Amino acid sequence: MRVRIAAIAVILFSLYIVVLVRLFYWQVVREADLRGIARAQSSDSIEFPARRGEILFKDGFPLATNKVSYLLYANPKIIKDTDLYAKKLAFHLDLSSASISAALSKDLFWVKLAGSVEVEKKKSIETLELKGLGFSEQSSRFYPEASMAAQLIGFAGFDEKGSQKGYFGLEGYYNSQLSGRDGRLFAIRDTLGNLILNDVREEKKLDGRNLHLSVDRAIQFIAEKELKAGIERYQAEGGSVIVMEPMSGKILSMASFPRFDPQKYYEFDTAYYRNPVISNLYEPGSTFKVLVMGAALDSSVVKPETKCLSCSGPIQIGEYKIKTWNEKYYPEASMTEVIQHSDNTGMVFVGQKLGLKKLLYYLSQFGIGELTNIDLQGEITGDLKSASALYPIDLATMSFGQGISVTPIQLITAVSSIANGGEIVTPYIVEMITTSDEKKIEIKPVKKRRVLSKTTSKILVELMVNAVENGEAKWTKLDKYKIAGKTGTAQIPIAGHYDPDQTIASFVGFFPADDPKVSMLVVVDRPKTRVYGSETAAPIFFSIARQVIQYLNIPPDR
Amino acid sequence: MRNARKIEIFALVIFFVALFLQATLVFYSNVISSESYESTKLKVDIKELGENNLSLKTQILQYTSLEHISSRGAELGFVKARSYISLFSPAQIAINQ
Repeated sequence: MRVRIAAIAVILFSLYIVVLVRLFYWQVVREADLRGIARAQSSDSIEFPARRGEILFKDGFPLATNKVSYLLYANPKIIKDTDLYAKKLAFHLDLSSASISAALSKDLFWVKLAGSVEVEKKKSIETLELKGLGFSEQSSRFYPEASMAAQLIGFAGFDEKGSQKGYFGLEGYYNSQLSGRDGRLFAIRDTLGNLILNDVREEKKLDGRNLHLSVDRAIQFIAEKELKAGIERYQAEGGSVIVMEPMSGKILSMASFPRFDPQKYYEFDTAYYRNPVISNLYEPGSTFKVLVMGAALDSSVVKPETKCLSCSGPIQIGEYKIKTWNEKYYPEASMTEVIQHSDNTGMVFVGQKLGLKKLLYYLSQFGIGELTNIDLQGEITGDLKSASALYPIDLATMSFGQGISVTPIQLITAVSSIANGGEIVTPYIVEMITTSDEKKIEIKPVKKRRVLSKTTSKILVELMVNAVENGEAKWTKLDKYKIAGKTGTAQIPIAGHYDPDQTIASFVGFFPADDPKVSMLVVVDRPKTRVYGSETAAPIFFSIARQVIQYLNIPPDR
Repeated sequence: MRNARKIEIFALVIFFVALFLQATLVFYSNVISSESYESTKLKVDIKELGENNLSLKTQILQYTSLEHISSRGAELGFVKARSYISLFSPAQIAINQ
C-alpha cells in the first residue's frame, strides 16, 4: 500500500517537474522570440507626417511651400463594374481608363489610383458617389513662382522608401532642416483590436524649419527677365546672372537658363537640375584680368602708371604667339590702359612681373581652386595647379584668364573683394532659419580673409571704373552712375585647342563704385549673333543694373 | 382601507414621477442627439472650410506671384514706364493725380 502511494507520488512529482521544465523553456529560453511575436500581434503605431519647412524670399513670399493634396485609393474587392469606374475616373484624373481598370482588377483590398489629387478634383470625384473609393490627405510641394530660381531651389522628390526628400539646390542642402521629424504613436491593442489608451507612447511630431533667403524676389524677377531676353536676342545656348551684396556675401539673385519646373521636375532631363553658377567650370577670359592686376598692384610690382614694355606687338612664348583680341597694340600702355583696352599682351607683362608663385598665391587667396562653401548642394571647383606643374605659357595665358577654370560663384566672390575693400566673404543664401516653435536662428556674414589692402582695392576700383567709362562697353553704360566693371570674352577649349567660333561672353562689375551695394556677374554661353562680352553680357548687365538701381532707390553719384 | 388608499396614492405618485423622468430622459436624449448631429455637421463644415481655405491660399499665392502678374499685365496691355522720378530728399511739391 505504501509502495503504491509512493509510486503515485513519484509519478505526480515527475509530471510536475516536466511542467516546470516546459514553463522554463517557454518563459525563459524562448522569451525573446515570443515577446517579439506578441508585440507584433498586439502593438500598433500611427504616423503623423511632419510638415516640410517653407523656403521664403526676403519679402516673406514663399518660393517653396506645401499644399494639401489627396491620394485616391480604391477597394477592388467591392467594386463590381470596373469599366464604369475607370471611364468616370479617367475624365477627372487625366489618366487612361485602361490603367485605372487594371488597378481596379487587382485581387487586393487596397490599390492606389492617383496621388497629388487637388482639392477641386477631390470634390468633383466625391460628387460621383462611387462606392469603394477613399481619399487620404497628403502634403505636396508647391512652387508659386513656377520656374523662377529653379536651379537655386532644387526640388523635393521622393526617396526609395517613398518619403519626401530634397535634391539639388536649397531643397537638397537643407533637407534635414526642412524635413523635420514625423510623429509616431505607439499603442497596444486588446484582443478585439481596441487601443489600450493608458499604455501609449508618443514621439512628438517636429515640423520642418523655414528658410528665409537673402534673395530679393523683385531683383530675381528682373535678372531672369533680362537674362532670358538677352539669351533670345543673341541666340545663346544659355546664361547665368548672379547678384550679390559685396560687403556681406548675401546673394540677392541667382538666375540661370535653360531652367526646369521644380513642380514637374520628372519631365526634365537631369542635366537641367545642375546649377551652372556653382556646378559649371569655364575659362573666365578678360574678367579675370582684374584679379591678376589686383595681385600685381598689391605686391607693388606695378603701379597704375607703370608702362608696359612689351605691348608694341604680339608676344612670343615658346611656340605660342600671344595677340590682343582685336589685333590693336598700344606701346607703353599704362596699367590703367591695359585694363581699359583689355590688352592681353599688357597682362602677360603684368603676369611676368608678378611671377608664377606670387600669382598662384594670390589666386588661391582670391578663392580660385577652392569651394566657396555657399549653402547649395552641388558646388564644384577646378584645380589650381602647383607652380612645378606649370610652364611659362601657362603663366601667360592665366594672366588674361585662359588656361584656368573657375565657377561663376568663385569669380563673383573674388571680384566682390575688390568692391568691399579687399576681403573675401563667404557667399550665402539663407539669412535666417525659423523653427516650428518660432525660434529664430540668424546666419551672420563670414569674412574668410583679407586678400588685398584697402588702398589696392581703391586703385583697382578706379581702373575698373575707367574700363567702363572708356572701354569697349562704354556705349551701354549708365550716365548718372559710376559703375566699376570688366568685360570678358573667353574662347572655349575643345579637345586640346580652342574653338575659333564660339565664346563665353561675360561682364562683371559692381555699383555704385565708391560705396558698392551690389556686385553682379553676367555670363552668356555661346552667343551666336554677336560673340563679345561688350556686345552681349554688358548690355544685359547694365539693363539689370538700371532696374536694380531704381528698385533699391540708389541715388546718382554723378 | 386607509392603508390601501395610501398605497394607491403612493403608486400614482411613483408612476407620474417615473413618467416625468422618462419624458425628461427622452427630451434630453433628443437634445443631445440633435446637438451631436449639429456638432458632427459643424465638424464636417469646418473640415470643408479648412480645405477651401488651403485651396484659396494656394490660389492667392499663384495670383500674386510675379510670374503671373507679369504675364497678366502683358495680356492687359501694361508696358514698362519709360522714366521715373526718385526723391532723395524732401521736396515741397504736391502731385495732382
